Amino acid sequence: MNAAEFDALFLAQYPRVRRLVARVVRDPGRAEELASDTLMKLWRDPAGRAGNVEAWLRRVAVRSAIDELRRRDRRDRFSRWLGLGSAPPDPGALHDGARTREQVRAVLARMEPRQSELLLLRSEGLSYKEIAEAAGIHPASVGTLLARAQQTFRKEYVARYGER
Amino acid sequence: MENGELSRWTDEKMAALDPPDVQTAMPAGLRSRRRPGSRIAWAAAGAGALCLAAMALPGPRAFAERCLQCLPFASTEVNAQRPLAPDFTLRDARGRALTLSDYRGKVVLVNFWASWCPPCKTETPWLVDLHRRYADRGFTVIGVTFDGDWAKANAFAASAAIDYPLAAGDDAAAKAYGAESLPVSVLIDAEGHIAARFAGLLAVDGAEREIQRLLPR
Repeated sequence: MNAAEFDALFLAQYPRVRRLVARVVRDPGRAEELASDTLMKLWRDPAGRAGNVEAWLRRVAVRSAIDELRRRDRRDRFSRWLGLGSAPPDPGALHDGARTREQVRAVLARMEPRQSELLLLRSEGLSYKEIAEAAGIHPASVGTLLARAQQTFRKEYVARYGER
Repeated sequence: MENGELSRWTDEKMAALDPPDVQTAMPAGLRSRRRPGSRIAWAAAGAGALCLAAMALPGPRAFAERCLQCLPFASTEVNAQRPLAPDFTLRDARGRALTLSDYRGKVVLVNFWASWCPPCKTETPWLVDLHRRYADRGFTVIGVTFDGDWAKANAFAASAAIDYPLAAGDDAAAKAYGAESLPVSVLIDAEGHIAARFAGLLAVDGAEREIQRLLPR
């Protein structure tokens, strides 16, 4: 793939990758950075370009978003532990939908990254085959692993926020 | 809760991620002006500076080193706290035994993979590269394949120019290392303790930093 072809691929894929990351990462600026990083990793990795590029991008984007979510969660916990408090909430975070979104993100941050990844890929509307390809698991295992991830998600969510 | 109901409940919650963040539409003046991590970064930097100053004195050196390891940007692992890597004996393509504990004295990256697994194939050239660059300093990769068919594993190994040892995985090894889905890589120090575990596509930069940290200088 030459530079011009990669430019075309970047323009075609960037909005999708950015949207995928922005669902998980709170800060839109950071989501843009991670989306660009994901595409640049593709440029540096010939193996990624050789196979199913979309599956590769989904996998790398979702993982980098989960890593960012977990980093932020650790930082917030450390901040609370130091007694520094956390940053004042944005007024928008008081909105009901935004509150649920933050709760979902908090639960995803505490789950095993592989389980969070499966839930995110599933919520992208992917088929089991596409999930298997993006997550690097055998297609026959997707149903079982997904059900396990859903159980973990519900258990953690209910423990933190109750039955709502 | 039934599976179908659980699935619907989870989908409903996950759908909350869909609308664009309210923050994206917020005027910049209403957003938090201060990055939440800035105070932490300053606190950690201050603590780090104090520890480094304390290390100049022979007395408090050990205490300062322990403090540095507790800081968020430093590794929190010390050798004594690392779990011992479960030993395994597996068979290579010719039926010869490959025992993990025989590699004691070397830093080992055990990579659980299969040729049907796309991210495994993606990371293989990185592993080959790491193996080649650090082999003479006492580092090796051990590939544990879950192909269940040496013909497929060998064909991929030849195409990827894998020159590190390969063995066929079994359930016990997969269970011992939590290799429920592939790839999984586990970094083991020269004393046979697990220093790091990477689930999914290898974060190669982080892995290389850990390898460098474990190898003798």
